[in-house]
Amino acid sequence: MRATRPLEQALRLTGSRPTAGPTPTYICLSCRARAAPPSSHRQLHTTVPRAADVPLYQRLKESLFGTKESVAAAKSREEKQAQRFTDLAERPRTSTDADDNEVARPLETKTDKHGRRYEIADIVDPAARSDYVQATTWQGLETVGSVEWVKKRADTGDVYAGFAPPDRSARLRGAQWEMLLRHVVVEAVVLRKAGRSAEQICWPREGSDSWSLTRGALLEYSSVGGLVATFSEAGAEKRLRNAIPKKLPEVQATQTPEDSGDQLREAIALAPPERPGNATPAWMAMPLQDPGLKLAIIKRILQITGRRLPDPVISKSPTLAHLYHALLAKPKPKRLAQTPQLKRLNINIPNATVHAGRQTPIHKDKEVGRWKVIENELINRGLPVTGSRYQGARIGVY
Amino acid sequence: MPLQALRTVAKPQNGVGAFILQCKRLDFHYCDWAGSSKGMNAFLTKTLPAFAARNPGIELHVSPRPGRHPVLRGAYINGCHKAICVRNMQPAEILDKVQLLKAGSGEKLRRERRPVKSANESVRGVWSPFHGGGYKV
Repeated sequence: MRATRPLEQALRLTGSRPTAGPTPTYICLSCRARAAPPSSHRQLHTTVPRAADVPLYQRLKESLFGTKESVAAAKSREEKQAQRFTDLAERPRTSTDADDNEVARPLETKTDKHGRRYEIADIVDPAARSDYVQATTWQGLETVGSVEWVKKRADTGDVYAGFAPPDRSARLRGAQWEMLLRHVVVEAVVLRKAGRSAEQICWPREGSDSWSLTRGALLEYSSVGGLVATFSEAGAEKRLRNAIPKKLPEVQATQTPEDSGDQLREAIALAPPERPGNATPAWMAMPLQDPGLKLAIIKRILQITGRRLPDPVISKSPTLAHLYHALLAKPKPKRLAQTPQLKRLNINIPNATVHAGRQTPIHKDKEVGRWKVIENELINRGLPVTGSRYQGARIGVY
Repeated sequence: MPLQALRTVAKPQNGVGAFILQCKRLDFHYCDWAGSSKGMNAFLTKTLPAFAARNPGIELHVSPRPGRHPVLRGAYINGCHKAICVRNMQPAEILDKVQLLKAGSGEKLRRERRPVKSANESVRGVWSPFHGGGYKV
């Protein structure tokens, strides 16, 4: 209780006398309690100090009818609002533009404390405007505050555009994946030989014959020299290098689905026949220790096919062969009914039936042929066939 | 005149001449998402095909029930149904339950109070106070 110290000092000063004995330093509890800050007061006061001077009837009157100050403030607010309405009504409805043409006056806008701009609606006096017809229903009027209104005003920022094309890789087989991987790797090897970054193979390019050029290349891998691409046609390597852009364009256009589809068609055209077993060509033994090269290959495959590999699969693929097998693997079915075991059960065993969706009582009625009778009767009587006709009911869904 | 034997009609009993399996249909309900359906999902992919091939007389239906525990449901000739929830069970345990449903008759489970149940009449006759040595007060 720091406030007791000045209190003690004050008491000491007032009570000090030359002939008095030792200065009394004792302070009683009530003085200490009064000197303490209000937050530490432990005594229960039955009367609020501020209300002690105001009689009960006056406090009741003020709580019911308001104090003089609050009444005066409310009156002042009403007068100001009425004055504002008068000013708005007296303002001209039209203004003239630069060519002296009469145009409708734009609405007054203000900014609130959060920085949002809002318009102040016009006040129309029906007595002043003869063409004004007061609406009797709300059809066609602007609505404020509905769910649609909120959704329309929300998310007015950036519009999200997806970066990946639709996944078209489901119909590719082994030889086609090999063809595609070969094309991407040849481009990456050619750029690496020229001292350029492998990432450039992913940059947008306009119409080139790089597919035919890479088809003519021969890939050879050795543990000493790494992966080397040799071209049978003279000048093919240079043309392929020039087809890949060296600079990223200023305005990056997103790849359209048609572009990736065309590239995929070119990729899988003239694919060789399937290899027996799980054998992979020798050039797929190339290690993928360079993360830049690995990412460039995966990104280019994503751009062409839309196929995304999971991160754990990418990190556990040390060579091109691992990547090839990961691309070849079919994704796990999301539902049990789509698994090959249950599909075989449904087809091969006559007494077993596998349903893909939940079986409802309507399905059971349909099995025994009762549903069509029920449905006809409900329609004849004008009753809802499924559920009730509340707002938002899904009609025709079983 | 020698004692005439009683003429009785042969009473039909399932299994005496021919056997009719009482269970006509089994429904298997599972969930793709719930963890309690893990054993059931494994049972459906691994064990059910063999069971279905061994029991061509039982109609088997497999359908999902999203967001619910896995359930086995048997339908019987007497029109009754029996359901068993197989949540968190292993495939072997689920097979035991399936065998239980298959072997059932559909009758309600009752506690047997009498030690012997027989369709035959009493061999020595039912006691009555009017026959025998009498009762002296």
